[in-house]
Amino acid sequence: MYRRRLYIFLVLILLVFMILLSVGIGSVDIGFKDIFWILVGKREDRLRDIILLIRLPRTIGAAICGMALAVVGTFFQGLLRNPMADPYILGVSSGSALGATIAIVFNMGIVFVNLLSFVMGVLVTFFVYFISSLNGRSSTYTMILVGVAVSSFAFSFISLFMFIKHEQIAQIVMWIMGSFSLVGWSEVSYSAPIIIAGSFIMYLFSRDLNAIITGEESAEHLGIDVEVVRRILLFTGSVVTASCVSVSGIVGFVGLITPHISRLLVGPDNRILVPFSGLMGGSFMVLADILSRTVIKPAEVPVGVITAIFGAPFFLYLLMRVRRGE
Amino acid sequence: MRAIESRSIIMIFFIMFYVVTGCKSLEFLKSKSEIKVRDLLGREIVLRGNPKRIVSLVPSVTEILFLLGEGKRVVGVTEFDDYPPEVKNIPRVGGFKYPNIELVVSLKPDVVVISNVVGKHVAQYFERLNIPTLVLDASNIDEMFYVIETLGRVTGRKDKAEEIIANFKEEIDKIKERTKNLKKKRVLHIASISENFVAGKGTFIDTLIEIAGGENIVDRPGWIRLNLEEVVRRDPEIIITSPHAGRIEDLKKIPAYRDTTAIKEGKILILPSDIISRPTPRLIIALREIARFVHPEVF
Repeated sequence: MYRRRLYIFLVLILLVFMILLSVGIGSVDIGFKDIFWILVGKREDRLRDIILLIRLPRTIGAAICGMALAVVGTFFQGLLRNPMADPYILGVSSGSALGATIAIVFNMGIVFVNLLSFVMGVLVTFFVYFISSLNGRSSTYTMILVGVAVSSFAFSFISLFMFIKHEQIAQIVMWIMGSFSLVGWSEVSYSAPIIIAGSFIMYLFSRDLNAIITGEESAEHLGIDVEVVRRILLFTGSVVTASCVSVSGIVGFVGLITPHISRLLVGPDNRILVPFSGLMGGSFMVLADILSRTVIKPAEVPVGVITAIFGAPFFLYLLMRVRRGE
Repeated sequence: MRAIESRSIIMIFFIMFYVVTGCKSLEFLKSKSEIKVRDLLGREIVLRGNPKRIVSLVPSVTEILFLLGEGKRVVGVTEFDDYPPEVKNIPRVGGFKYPNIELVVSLKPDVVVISNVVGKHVAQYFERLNIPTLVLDASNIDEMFYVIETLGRVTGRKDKAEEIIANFKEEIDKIKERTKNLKKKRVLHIASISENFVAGKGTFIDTLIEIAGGENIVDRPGWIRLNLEEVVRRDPEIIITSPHAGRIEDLKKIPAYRDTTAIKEGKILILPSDIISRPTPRLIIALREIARFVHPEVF
């Protein structure tokens, strides 16, 4: 227990360090002295806006989204008993992307891009869950397959929109690849409560998840209503994921690889794994965001590209290991 | 009693005085420094006086500002800006598609001009930071006139803007005059050879082709991917393209194009992409070239 607490403490320090780094680094060079005076409120100018209204909200946004995606990823991998599961596996991302695309194509503006992507993300997950539980209990395999089918259906509409309104392709692509560059305090203020509350609710079920992973039957013996717990977790996870995606667009791999790395470090007990994985995901996302705006200054690389560059090779490695283990 | 009366009279007098002068001074401020502008998305934006620092994320807008003699106000541009040559010394704040927000803000702009490619939500983001933002990238000739006029109004160079527009219209009329009784030639503009991406009705190049005495063989609006059968059916007599559209050799290999009149007679005009795709008065250069190519007999 002591060692585990130490791990959590270390990863917490890592996250704080990443956040400080993220506030300190950017396209505009601002000295640490200036940043200090800005943070204590002793300066009023455009530099202050850059730190307090641009960098800080985007950093917080990245930390919270990274945290949430990793937590949801951990739960979904356990719940669906599938190492390839990630927060998007039930089609949230495709629904959100379709919602955002519609809002972008019809030029509805920032609020509707966020709102429609959130609503569509949740709706699509409901739809997937509904379809896959039509004939009695929903098996995880059916759910994953239905998720894949619904995702490609939604993405076909996105392609159609991109084809018809080609002048907006750039915006749609930017959104699909994910970016925190337009995350301001208002985005953080309405998504953070949902994400934090949702993640906390999920955390409360980490003991039940431990039982479910060992086997649904034995979990039932322990007095856990597996179907209800699963329903609650899938619902909460999807809402949390949808609010992340509505803010940042689709950022892949964070929700997939962070839980695996964390499992290697702290073991499979979800009571420790979930918070560790969350803090780890937050740190990873903030780091990815730092890289996204510094690797080819002054241009910004979509953050999803960065996470994929790191994530994809690791995913392949994982795939090999799982295959060898079979 | 009298004391109260006289006091209230004084108070009323003061109140009236404040109301009247207040209104007047407000009115005065308004007429002096507030500029209301409607951008191409139809949004009304209020500027506090003529902006001294403009970040232009649209190359054509940068060009027009310099043409108006107000290039000194431009403090930030995109990496694609290359005209006039003076823009080389202006800081680059990212691509046409994705501006670097921090860099833009650090330049302390009074107004930011963006393209519709960047989109409404970027405009809204800047506005939340109290930076007025205009979406001004023209997609046809009339919108170009509107952009010139608007930029003229914003920078206090209305006369100059009107002069530029009048000159442009005059040039158009001159060319129209010469070509109006000639037989129209069938013209096709290819923006990308590999995708067969061509200019339809209402695009800049379409308007230029019409003025030059040609007829765009594409009658659908906007930029489209043209079915190759349509190329055979309408048989273009002249093809206009630009260096970055692809290699002409590849075009000649496509069966649908091989037997068109344009390819057989070698009537292919290659124009630098910035003068045919940027909605600025430099379009007149492209227009003259096209007219000379379509109807060499009268130019």
